[in-house]
Amino acid sequence: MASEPLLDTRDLKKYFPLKRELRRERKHVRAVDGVSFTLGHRETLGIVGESGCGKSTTAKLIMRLIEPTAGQVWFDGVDVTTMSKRRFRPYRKRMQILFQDPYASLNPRMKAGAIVGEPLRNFGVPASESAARVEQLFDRIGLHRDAMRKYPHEFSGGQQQRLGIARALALEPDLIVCDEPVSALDVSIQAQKDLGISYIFVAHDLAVVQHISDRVAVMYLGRLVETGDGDRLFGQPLHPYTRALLSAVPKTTSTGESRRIVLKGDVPSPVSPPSGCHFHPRCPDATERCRQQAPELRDVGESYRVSCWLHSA
Amino acid sequence: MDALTNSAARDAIVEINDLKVWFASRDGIVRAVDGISFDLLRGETLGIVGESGCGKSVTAMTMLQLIPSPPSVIAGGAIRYKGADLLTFDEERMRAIRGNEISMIFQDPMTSLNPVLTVGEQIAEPAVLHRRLDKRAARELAVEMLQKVGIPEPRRRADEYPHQFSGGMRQRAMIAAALACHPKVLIADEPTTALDVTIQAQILELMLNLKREYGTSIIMITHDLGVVAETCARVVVMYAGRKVEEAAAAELFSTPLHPYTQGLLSATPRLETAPGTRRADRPRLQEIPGMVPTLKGEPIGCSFAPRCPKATAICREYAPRLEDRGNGHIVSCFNCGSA
Repeated sequence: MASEPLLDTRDLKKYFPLKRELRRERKHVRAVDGVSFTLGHRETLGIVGESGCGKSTTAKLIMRLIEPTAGQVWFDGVDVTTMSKRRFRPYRKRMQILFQDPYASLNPRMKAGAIVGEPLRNFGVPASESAARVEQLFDRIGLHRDAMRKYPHEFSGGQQQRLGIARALALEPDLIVCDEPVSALDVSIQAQKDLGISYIFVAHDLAVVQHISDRVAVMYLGRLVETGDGDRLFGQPLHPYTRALLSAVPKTTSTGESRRIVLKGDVPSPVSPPSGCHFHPRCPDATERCRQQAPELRDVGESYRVSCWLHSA
Repeated sequence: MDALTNSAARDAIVEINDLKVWFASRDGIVRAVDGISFDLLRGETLGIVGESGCGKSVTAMTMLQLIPSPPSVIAGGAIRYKGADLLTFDEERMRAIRGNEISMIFQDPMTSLNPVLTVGEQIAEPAVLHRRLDKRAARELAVEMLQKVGIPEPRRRADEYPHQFSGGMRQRAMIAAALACHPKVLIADEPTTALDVTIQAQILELMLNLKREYGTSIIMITHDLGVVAETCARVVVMYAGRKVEEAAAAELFSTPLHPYTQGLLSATPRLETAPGTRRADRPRLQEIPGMVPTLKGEPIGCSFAPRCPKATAICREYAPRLEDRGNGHIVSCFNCGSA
């Protein structure tokens, strides 16, 4: 048997309530609607999907930045979902998050050195120790130590992203969740992979995700539709949505006539998702069964899971 | 040979010649566009690529005189449309061009559409102005255009407001408005950057279908090399306000000559969907070291030299000229292949 995963989410759900209309039942946005996956030690999992599929909400649920409506998050064998803030604190130290906009997540009135050192101060590392640690971190992300005295606006976008990475690395976490980091800056993350850190990489840029993920999870309207080994998922996707998604990405290596699958229409509203399989109204292969019954995420071998009636025979 | 003057034989609808657009700023002149030349041929789709700040959008906006002056100054050059220099046109003559002969669509359809007018009114607006359509004809045109761009229930949708449309539908509405007068030239400035990939695929397909139907020439401005590869016949690569390379799209991607183009391609992760490809076997992404120059003051030498792995002493002193290396593959570099 495989060893205990670092992270295990079990049927995670997050429904955001909408403003109640007069004499009507209160409606909810089903942002995340039953998501289960595991993340191994030293593994990088990419979560992909289009706007509104729930991938960023999933990232925030893992970090407990928002509380789930239902379901659990297990970290290193412990259910951290309902822990008190105080008991959760040691776990918080072991998981860090990198946000989408590097500049917006850096305090403009703090110097770079203080920004990177802040988590250390927060967790009571003595100033003498933390100064040396911050210098090390600057070396590691390839910024000159002089840069510690600069303010965030004096850095380029790529360098700001690096500062965020340095801050995330400061406490030597086991897990870093990257929520839509600016694409093409993955190089600096790649360089950190040897540190024994697990990553969850939430992004809509499939090429970037392919580049850095061991395993990939594809989300659509709050649910996982396909997940497993990255090489297999990008090379031989099973779910019709994954296929359409991959074929929609414009490529510089066009091989003659492109076999693009162009989906019709927009993603339906997560307030009233379609019956059965959420993808059926846009699916070229949908049958009557898909309209009525939601397929489960089934293992089709080698821990590769897909949620589609076409692949459940 | 001089690559800039051999365009006479080709059937160009727009010819941009040595265009310079400068901005006055508190600490000096910013040379946003510093001597760019290219032609748009009839019926072709031309891509302009480059990173943010390379001057691609300024070039496009200048074509329609959409940049206020001051702070912008046209420091030289010409933009010929069907032979006439648009830069000499006054506001009244320009207005007859905008939306009628040359149209433009922008990255963000929400900020380009007026929130207090219905989508239908906005689609018909150019036709009302240019062709003096009456109210009923305007509405019919709006419904027809909405149908053309694939919006379901166009009759009902024409009376809705932009906020009732999704992002992809707004971009469709923008395209409908831009094409309402059947312009000869469409400038698309990052038309799909704000959209998800499956919606991007819909919009690109739509643009190419409409181009076929109307014979529109398109200038596609984007930083997405994949979008260029799939939609454009020819590509201009810009860096720091100048053209550094131009070639047929297929050739540019298979044999890029300029070190900047090469750097751009190897810094861009590519999606590989061939079965059996292993991630472990793929090359790592390469960064282009350093930062884009500020464009302030008179540039000395090749503007890419400070970041260029191939730069030599001559690159730092003299700016290389654009040279044709055959098949219309134009490049400005001292160190990439023999001239």
